[in-house]
Amino acid sequence: MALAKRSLYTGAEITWCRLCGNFGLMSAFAWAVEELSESIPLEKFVVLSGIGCHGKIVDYINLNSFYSIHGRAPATATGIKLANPELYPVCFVGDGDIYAEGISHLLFAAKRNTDITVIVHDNRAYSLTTGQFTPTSPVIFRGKSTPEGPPEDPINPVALMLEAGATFVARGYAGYTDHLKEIIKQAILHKGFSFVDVLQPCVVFYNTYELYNRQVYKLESAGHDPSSYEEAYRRAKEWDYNREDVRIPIGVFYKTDKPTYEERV
Amino acid sequence: MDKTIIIGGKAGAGIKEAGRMLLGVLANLGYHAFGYVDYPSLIRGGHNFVSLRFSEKPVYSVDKKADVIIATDGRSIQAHLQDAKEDTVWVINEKEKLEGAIQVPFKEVAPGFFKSSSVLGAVLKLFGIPLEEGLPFILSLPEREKNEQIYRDAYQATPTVFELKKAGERKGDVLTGNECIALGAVDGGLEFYIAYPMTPASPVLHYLAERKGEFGIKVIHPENEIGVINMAVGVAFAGKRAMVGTSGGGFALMTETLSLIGMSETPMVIYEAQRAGPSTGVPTYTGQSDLLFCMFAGHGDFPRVVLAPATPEEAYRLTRDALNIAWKFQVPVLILGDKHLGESYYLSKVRREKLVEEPKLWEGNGEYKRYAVTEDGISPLAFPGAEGIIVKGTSYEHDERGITVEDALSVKKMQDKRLRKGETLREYILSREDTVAVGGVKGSDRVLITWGSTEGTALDVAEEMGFKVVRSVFLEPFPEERLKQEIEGANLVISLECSASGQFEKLLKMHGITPHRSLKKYDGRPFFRDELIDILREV
Repeated sequence: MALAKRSLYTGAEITWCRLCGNFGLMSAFAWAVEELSESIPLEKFVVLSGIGCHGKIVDYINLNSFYSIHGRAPATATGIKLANPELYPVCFVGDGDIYAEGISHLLFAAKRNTDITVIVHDNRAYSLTTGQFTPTSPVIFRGKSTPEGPPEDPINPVALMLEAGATFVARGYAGYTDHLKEIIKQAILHKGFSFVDVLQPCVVFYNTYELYNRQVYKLESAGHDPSSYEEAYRRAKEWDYNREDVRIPIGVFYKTDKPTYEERV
Repeated sequence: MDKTIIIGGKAGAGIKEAGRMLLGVLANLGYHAFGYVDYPSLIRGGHNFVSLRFSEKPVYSVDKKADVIIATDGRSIQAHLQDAKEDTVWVINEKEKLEGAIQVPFKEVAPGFFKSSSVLGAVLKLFGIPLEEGLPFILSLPEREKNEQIYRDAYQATPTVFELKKAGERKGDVLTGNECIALGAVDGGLEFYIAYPMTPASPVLHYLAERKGEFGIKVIHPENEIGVINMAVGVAFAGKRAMVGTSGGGFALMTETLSLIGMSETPMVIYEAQRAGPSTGVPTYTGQSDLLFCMFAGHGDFPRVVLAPATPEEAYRLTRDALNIAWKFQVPVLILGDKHLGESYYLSKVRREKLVEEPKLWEGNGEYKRYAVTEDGISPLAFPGAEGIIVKGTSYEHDERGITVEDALSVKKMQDKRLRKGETLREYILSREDTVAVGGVKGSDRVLITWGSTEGTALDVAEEMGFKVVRSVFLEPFPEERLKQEIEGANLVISLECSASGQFEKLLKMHGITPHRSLKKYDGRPFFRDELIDILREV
């Protein structure tokens, strides 16, 4: 517990924009880790990231880390978990990072039920590369590479992960840090592959705070049963990442138990 | 006696197996032997063949023209007409016709399965080898009773043409380069073998997967080569020894992560078994045209090791060393092999001995800095999970703790650290005795200079043609001085390689060595002995 007394932040200069959704996400995670450190020694955490604004989180968080490359963090995390099953790998990835370049690694991590956690900073824009559309951008998103809007529809990662076999599927909102903290705690404690898509507004290229504040509702308040796959799928399909006039569920969609990859290989 | 025997037939008919068993019999009789395996990229049908050469003297290659051709089907007769000499003895299936050929019932135990037993029976009788010499091999096959019967029938039906005497003590076991790569890795402390199937590296995956329990290792087959190498990075970062294996196309996918390995200073061994390229190329055939790609793959500057074994013994020893070098210097080590080394049959004496050297580990004083700046450029290793420390690995340019930096001073400082590590590595490699191998007629002023499996044919022609054979075992760091010493005063230096553009010759020139002649073969086949003799006669 020697580390517990230290700050969870490295002190590195934080270069995210003022009001960026990444702050809420990072606070929720740090807060979750602080609470989890009662049972999990801090040195057992390994945080990983891909490339993009989100990736900087590994510089700011004072835990073991591996700053991976674009889209590959889940593969690296799987290797870490295989080599040392006592560790808790947590991947921070971006929507452009993981749903485009890294989609195969994400799908296979879910398929394998490898015991890692993947937290997606889903701002629905390539922001560090100054504003292009990503796999979850809506068709109204006017990006630098698609000034008329993307000529393709967004994917629904929550439905995708349910189909891929993830045993813990959730969506959080960086604007509701206390709620997000609870989801992250559950995700890390879940034995098996945990997936959390975090709605994380980019104030410069796609400011969705107002949209999410208006449309988001909590699954647990709606009496959702996360043990039912059918219910989870129905809730996942309520919002298609495109429309702005429907309610957006956040919380734990699905949770089940299955042997992990590490146990099976 | 020095003979080349071709055994041809459909894929799936047990041709490879027949060749391997025959090599086993010849080994037991005290002969040196070598087997070249030729098969197209298909599962059943087509035309496969094994070409074997055996002799009282060491052999590492086969002749193109065979003394005996065993054709188990009609297509094999047509395919090998070009490989026959005037006095070639043909042994063909009883259903086929060829003037002067011996007809034998090449029967299968089940439709489409194992003509190997009948082939072995026929060849053994042809050379007057007692029937008992083949029995242990036949009895280890499935369906042993049926196999034994057709073995005996074929033996019975074949006349004896040659009288093969026992040549002495057994010279070694029948082994492939790939098997020795696998064994070398295990004895170098391998804990994880991670690979996506790709010919000609796949046999290593299969060999280790079958024996993972015995070896106490994990064998993982992920979604693609990018998953492979990034998973291996995770394994190594967490402190376990990993190796990956692939061929050119798979390695192309891994090159992004090769740079990550360079930057994050992750110990990694990559086995690259070359096929004939470019692109998908000729998947089941051989080549040496990934040389410059492996030397220069990856973006940015970072130190690496590229080495190329030429024999199974060396494949074993160098793979074992590769794991230790990777961990000692926290660099990628590329083992550059090819289909010819990987899948040919060699008689080899590999003496296994575990050798796991401890890397430079952190001693546990003060704050741990993953990228601590040191005089030799090597930062002490520690792994996540250890109490009281934080280990930060990264793809980004970083400070000593592993936190991103972009300012000019810091960027240069870390580049300098890695350069110094490269220099330490260079001194270590170049001080080794085995950077260059020398064989053939050592006093000759005529030199064949080569690398990798191509050395085999060079050695087999050296005495007859009066050549010294010089081989670069390490390609990066390049043993320039040693090579220059070995060719000093030579009147004729000929570079020999399986690359259309002469990649090895280019590498030599880069280091100030200009061969007088350059011989290149690039049809997917290795140099054959008789072919090389003919070429060298004209030089």
